[in-house]
Amino acid sequence: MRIKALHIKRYGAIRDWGPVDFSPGVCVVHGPNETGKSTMFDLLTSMLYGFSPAKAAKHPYTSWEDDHPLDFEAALVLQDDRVVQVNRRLLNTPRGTLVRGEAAENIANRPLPFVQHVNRNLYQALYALTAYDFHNLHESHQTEIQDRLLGELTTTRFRPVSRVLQELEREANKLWRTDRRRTRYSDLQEELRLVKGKCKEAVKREAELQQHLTELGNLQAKRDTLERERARYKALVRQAEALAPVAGALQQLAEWRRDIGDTKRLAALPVDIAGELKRRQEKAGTRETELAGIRDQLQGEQEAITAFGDGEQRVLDRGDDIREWVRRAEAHDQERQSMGREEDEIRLRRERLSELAEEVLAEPWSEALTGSLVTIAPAELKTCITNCAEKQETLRQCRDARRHKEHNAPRALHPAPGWIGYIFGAAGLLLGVFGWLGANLLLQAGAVTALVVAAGVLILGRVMGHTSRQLREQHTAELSRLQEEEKAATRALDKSRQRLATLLKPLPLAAGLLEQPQMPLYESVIKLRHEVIELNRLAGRLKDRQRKWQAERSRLKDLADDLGEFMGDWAGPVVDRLAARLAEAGQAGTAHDLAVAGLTALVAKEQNTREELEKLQKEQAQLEQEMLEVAGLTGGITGDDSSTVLKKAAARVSEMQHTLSLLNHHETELQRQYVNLAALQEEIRGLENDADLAWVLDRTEVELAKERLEELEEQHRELVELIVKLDSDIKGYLQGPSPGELYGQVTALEEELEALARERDRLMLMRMVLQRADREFRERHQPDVLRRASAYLEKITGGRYNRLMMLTTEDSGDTLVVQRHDRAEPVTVEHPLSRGTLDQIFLAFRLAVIDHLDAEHETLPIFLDEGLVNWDDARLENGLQLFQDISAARQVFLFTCRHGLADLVTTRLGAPVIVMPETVSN
Amino acid sequence: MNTLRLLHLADVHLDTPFYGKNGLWRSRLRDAVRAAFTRGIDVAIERRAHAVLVAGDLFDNELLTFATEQFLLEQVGRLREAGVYFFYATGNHDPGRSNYRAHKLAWPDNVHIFRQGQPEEVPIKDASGEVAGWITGAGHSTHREDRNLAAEFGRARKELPHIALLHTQVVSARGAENHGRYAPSAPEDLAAGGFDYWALGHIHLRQQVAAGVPAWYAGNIQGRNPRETGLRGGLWVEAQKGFPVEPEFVPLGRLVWQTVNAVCSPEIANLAELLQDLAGQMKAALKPNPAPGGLEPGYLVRLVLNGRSPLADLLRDPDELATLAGDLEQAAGIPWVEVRPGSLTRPLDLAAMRQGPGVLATALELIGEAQKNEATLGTLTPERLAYNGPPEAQAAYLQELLAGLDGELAERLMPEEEE
Repeated sequence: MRIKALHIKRYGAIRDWGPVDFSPGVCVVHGPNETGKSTMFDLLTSMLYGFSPAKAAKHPYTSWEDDHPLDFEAALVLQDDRVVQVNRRLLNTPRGTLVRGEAAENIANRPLPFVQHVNRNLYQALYALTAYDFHNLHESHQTEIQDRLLGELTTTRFRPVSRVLQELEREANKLWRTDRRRTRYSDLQEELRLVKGKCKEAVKREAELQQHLTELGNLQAKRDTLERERARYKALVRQAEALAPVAGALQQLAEWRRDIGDTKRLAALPVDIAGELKRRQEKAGTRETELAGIRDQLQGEQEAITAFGDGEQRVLDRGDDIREWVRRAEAHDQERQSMGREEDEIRLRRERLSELAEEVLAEPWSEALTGSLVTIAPAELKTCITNCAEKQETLRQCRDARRHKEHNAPRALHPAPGWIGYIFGAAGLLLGVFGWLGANLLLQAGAVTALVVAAGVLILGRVMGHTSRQLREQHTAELSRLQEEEKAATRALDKSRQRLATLLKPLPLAAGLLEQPQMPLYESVIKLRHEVIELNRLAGRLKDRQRKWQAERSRLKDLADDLGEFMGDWAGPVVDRLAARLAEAGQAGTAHDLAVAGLTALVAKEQNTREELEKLQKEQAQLEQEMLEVAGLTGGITGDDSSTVLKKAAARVSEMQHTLSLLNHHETELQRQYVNLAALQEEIRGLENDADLAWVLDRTEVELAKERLEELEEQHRELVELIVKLDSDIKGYLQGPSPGELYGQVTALEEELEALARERDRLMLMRMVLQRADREFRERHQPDVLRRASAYLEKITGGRYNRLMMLTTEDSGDTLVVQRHDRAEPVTVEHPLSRGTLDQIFLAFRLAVIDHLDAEHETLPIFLDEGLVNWDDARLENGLQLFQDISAARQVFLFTCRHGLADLVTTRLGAPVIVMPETVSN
Repeated sequence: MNTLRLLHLADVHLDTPFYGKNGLWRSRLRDAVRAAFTRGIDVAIERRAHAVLVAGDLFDNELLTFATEQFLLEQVGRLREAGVYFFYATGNHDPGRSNYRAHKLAWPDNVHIFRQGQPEEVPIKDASGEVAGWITGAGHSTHREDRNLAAEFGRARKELPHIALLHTQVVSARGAENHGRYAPSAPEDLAAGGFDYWALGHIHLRQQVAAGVPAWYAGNIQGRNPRETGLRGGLWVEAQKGFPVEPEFVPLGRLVWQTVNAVCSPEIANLAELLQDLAGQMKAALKPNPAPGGLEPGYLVRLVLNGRSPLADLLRDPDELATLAGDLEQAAGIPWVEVRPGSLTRPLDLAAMRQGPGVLATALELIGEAQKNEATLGTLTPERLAYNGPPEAQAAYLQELLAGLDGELAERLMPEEEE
């Protein structure tokens, strides 16, 4: 599509310009600054797309000087060479007409039908390239460059996608992120955690509060109960205190009355009853003492009478015998002692006899041996023993001689051994044989010598044997004789022993005494015989004395038995007792006689005294009984003796007598003090009859009540303090937030967290959409755009840069690079590439995008406004040539304020220059 | 014919958290729940109900304050004085095992609590002591009851109205996805036993669980956050044996959440005009239909801004939004307004921008395709999402995110000087 002609009736400052014809190819529009080049571009956009804004009042190019509407018309040549007319006016409502051939179409404010493949925004952004765009590009980051370049497919009025993506990611990450870095979400979570912590505390506090409230309720109930009780006690104590003096006095009087009981009986008792009783007791005691004395006398007399009985009389009857024994008793006991000593001597002799017998006899001594021993004649015994001793001596001498002979027997002579002679003989023969055989003279001489020695030895042996035999025969004959003499001596000794044994046969002599009898045997037997004879003599004498003493003792025993005394071993003690009894019996007889004489008078005196005492005791008992009854001790006091009881009773009666006097005195005094005593008594009785209130009249109880009241006051004070403290605590608890309130905060925070999460997810979803759209868009358009852009760039740079590419890396994403024809590696499209080169890359890209967009559609005109500032001459040349090439298919408008550029384009391309009207600039 | 009169309440959530701008509003909302509960008790007494039924989540075990506990016992005590039973089946928030609060409160003797999963049948008596009907209930003994309790309810009696009371998630019910899957059940379980009415709790949206099944969620008595919109309350039930029950909605919660989607005009370029326009739109949207029972609702409005406006950038500033909300409260006479930017954009000609070629046109084309095609949306989903919801709801979540995305994307690609 090409604008063939344009007639501007009114658009901004431009008025009635045209119709202007635009030739095919590049169109150069020249005008100084502010002559309306931008107005021109906006007008052309409005021509293609309609007015925007669509209200005249809001449209920036509406004149404020008059109300003439924006109005223009144009002729367009389409690709199929058809010419159409477009007319647009902005009145109250936009109006537009499209004339195709003969047909006119009301298009209102709608875009022209053949420009709809590119929307208004896109057209405005992409098809008009200003120096500002280049300038911006130079200041931009390379990533923005590529965004801008590809963004041209949309509109330069939109922000770079990568920047929006970054913003979205940054905003989303501020809200929530996967790592542990701080975010708004994590802050809220922390706050939530804190509030939840407070919730737990509040729940705990609430539980404590409930406990406190329960406790408070209990304490208040307790306090109320306490207060009721306290009030009641107070009232009662006040009443008690008002009535207390009267009640106390009345009670005291009543107590006294109760204490006294029957006043008449009390009054009847002596005033000093204790003294009266004591006096009466003393009098009775005197009488009792007298009576006791009489009775003692009477008892003494009776005892004297009864003390002389039959026993005393029998003792007196045997008085002579007793006195006789008093004389003889000592001699009798001395005789007994003498006999004892003699018995001891006999016992000693018997022991000595036994010892002597043990020396001689083979068995202990017995009385049976006495006769045999006495019959042995001492002379005969002495002869026998002497004879035996002589025979023993003879035998000993014979035996000694024989033994001597036997010990001195002659010795046998021992000849030289025969074998020595034989050895020498054999050696001589052997030497002789060898000497002979060997004709050895030395051996032969040796043999002769040996034979000689052998013959000598054999001869000497024969002589010595003969002499020895003669000596042995002589000794044997002498020994036989001596043995015969010894046998004769033995026989004589045996005969003497036989005689001695016969003599001592009755005695069991110890073994061996008869083997070699000597004089000691004789002496022992004779000594034993003498002891036996002496012992028999002493025993006979003792027996006679014992018989005589025993007869005397029998008589004394008869006397003792008769008088009932125990005899005992000795006569002295019993005789002493008998003598004493004899004396006592004499005294008792005298006393008996005297007692019988005084007994009658004493009995009469005792009776009189007793009767008087009984009377006194009866009166005493009556008085005590009265006293006990009055004292109220008739039941007795357990554990006390009667005297203690009486003392207590007396004391009690005295006390009662004192109380009675007090009673009389106080009763009189009370009646004087209280005129309304009767009414008070009535009130008191009313209280007394009330079981629950009776205690009011009891001073002790009232005191207890007062103590109780004090306790109640104390308890009440403590309770009130506790309640105040609890109340304060409860207020403290109530000041804190309740669990529900805190959980409300939790809910709000959770909702906020949810909203944050939602916002974050929304941002990320938006980012995903945008990223995905960007990628899809690039994938769809980028290859074609890059190919076209590479061709344009190669043309502009004269082949120095021949390819534009997108390199995709994980780190930096898509990167636009450019390939220089003489370098192996591409270069990133950014500084230090020169500003001019970057401008050219940008232009190449833009042209490629434009081609891409309206391929297979109407090609829309492009506008360049001072876009070639930084180009060197060569590239400017190439660029102009490129515009020339492009203009074959697409109308190109070059806007410039510089004459040089306008002239250059005209010169190089032969393009006409259209000059903006002067009026416009004004 | 014996008629059993009941007030069906559920999910009261005494003292539980509320959404709110600040502590004051959260406190007001808590008080509103108490007021709604009191109103429910009033209704039960005025209409001489046989019983009030609470289908679980009467309170949150941990959050019930002492004061609210006293309040609760006081209200139940009022029912006792009026001779009204209080049947209460524990839910997942207030389980019935002995170590939980529901067990520990000093309930009066008109209260019967179904604490265990094993259904229990109890007679409902009238003022004369005659049995007027029967109720079978089961409760959650712990916080995590995952058995199908409804399946154990057996069969209803035939001679008198027989009611079932349960805190359950009917998995097919509307809004079920917003609640934990506790004691799950199906409409078939509820239809099987022949009960005259199932008083259900757990899902906060009032509804009949399925056509022909006499099972109703009463919803909560006071909306707790902007998502729980509309009037909330209980269901008045008059049950007669053999006749279908038509429960009557009794509004109780005076504070009503409402979301108003306002459209900003591209012609309005200053805030004063915008304020008037938005106030008008709000009033029109909230034009009150008189609430049953003469309740004067106080609206809590979340105003969502949509459309194209030259003020779009300004209206994204939280401070501006807060100021606008305050102004709107005064201008519209609404006590609580929260303003949120929805799909609000600058006045862009998106239709023209969609005319290619270009990155933006491609992006807009992609958004359009993603809105229609879930697979395309899948390819656009970021590798890591901050979204923490159930996986099955992710697609819907992403679709929500797509709303208004085209305008904002176009805005972002628009250079600053064009604003």
